[in-house]
Amino acid sequence: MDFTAFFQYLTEILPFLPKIYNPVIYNVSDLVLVFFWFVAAGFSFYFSLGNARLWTSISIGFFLIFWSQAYLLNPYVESYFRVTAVHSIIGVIAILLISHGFQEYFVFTRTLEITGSKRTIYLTTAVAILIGILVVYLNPKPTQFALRNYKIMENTIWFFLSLTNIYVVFKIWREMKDSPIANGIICFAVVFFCIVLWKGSNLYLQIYQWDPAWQQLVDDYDLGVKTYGMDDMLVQFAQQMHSIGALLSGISVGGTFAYLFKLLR
Amino acid sequence: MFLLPKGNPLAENVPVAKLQLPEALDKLRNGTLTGCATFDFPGADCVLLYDGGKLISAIVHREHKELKDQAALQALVDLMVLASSGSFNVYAFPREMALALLGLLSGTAVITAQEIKQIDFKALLERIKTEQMTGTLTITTPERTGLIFYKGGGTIGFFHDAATAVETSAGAVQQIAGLPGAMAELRIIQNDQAFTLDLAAMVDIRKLWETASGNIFAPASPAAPPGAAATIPAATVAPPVASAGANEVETAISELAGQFIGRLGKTLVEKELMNAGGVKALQDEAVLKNFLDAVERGSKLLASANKIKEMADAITAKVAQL
Repeated sequence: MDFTAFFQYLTEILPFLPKIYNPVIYNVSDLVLVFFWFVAAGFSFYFSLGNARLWTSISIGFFLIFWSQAYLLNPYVESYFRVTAVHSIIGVIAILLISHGFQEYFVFTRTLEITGSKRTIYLTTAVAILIGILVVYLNPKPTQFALRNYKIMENTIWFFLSLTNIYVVFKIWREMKDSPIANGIICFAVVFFCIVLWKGSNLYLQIYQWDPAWQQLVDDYDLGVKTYGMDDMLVQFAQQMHSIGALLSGISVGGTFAYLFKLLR
Repeated sequence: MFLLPKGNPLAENVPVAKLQLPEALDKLRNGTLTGCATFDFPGADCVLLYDGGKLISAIVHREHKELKDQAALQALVDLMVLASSGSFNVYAFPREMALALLGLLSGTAVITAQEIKQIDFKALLERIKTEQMTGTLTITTPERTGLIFYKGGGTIGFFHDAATAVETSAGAVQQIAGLPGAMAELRIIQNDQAFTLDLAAMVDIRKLWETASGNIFAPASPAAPPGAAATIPAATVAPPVASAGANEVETAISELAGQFIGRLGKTLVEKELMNAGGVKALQDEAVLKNFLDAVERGSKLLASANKIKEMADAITAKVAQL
């Protein structure tokens, strides 16, 4: 879908925005993906109303994922390096919050105690984001190399925390398997599995410098570095896995929350 | 309070007021139970350990004192007759676990309350293995307790105060062992200990029961029902006796939670009932409201709003029967 005219018009009425030189074309799948993250953020926010604070953690986490995914659609993204770096930090905060929520869920199933205030979650999130912004703005403007490093950091944290979350979700499910919403909770294991595929394959490509961002840097800076193995089956498989994993993550998270909504109504 | 693993539950939270002790113990013997029967009274606990229907150990903790075997059975009979409330549970275990627990409850101490820092732990584990010990290693701190069970020198399971079942990994118990001030105690059974004991054959529980529950001043008559205050000299009855109706309502409320929300719902309701001060306290409207609010708060993480509402209505109706 071509959004070039829309963004050019936006630049005309808001002159402080950078000019649009390249066509702005979105894949329908990207828009669908962002929509599913929005659905997840919306439902989890609904569950957090009048509920224990663990849903607040999960809700803010999914909202921040939606935010960082939606930001990637922003055509001005390449003009604001600092903001892009901050969004990688926000991505990390998102998965930390979600993991915290599921760990509190597990503690609840073992102790049946609900402790802590929602305000602490809101404040901690705000402070973490502010510290992230401060760190980025106190340092020199990130180069494209630095942005790629930020992305590697984000993918690494997502990959390992998602693996841990699969284990935690199974433990929660085992404790509450005869409860009415047990099947909804186990669906999160599927969500985190898709995220592991999505982020893990991207991390693999980045570590071996097979990712598009590295290829772009080699071209832009004329680095003269030859990348071997780009045509290998494994690399193509990882690239496919990255695309399919991203789509499945969005669909599974939207589906899981819709199913949970049905179970919790 | 005993820390014992929960095996396969055969009976849980049965009010002791409903129980005829001799008949209950006969059932456990005839059912060739391998496992344990526990009695929780306010201020006292009792564990009876069975191996293939043989009563191999009995132990009572009351007022910081520990009574064993015959003295424990006598104390259990007294507690059953006098207690205002209490619950009875039966759990089945594999035989190897029952033997490891026999070590814990009435075994010989190899190590008694020694600080872990001062023990060569590796050498101890090696000794358990080479001497093919069967028993339980208890690790305690002021806040936590962990148990490691051994059969013939091999580890057969782990349990701790936050676990709901016997675990196969040592992680949580190892964490307890790593806490400052952690103490270890190892108790094991002698090779022939498990095969020689049958306390039920050594003690006439039926006679003890009839003597304790009968009125010595009344003419000879059929045995009175247990827990009936009228048959016990008033001076010996310490706490007030709860009506059987209260116990029935408590069991019914607990069952309702299990039915609507599952096992965790049942545990949640039992916990909140304890916090509320027992089922009779729910007759006070404010206490009932607080109890239902607390149950709802936890239930929101386990079930839908409709199910929670249905459960709350059913509980309110049950409480009204008090």
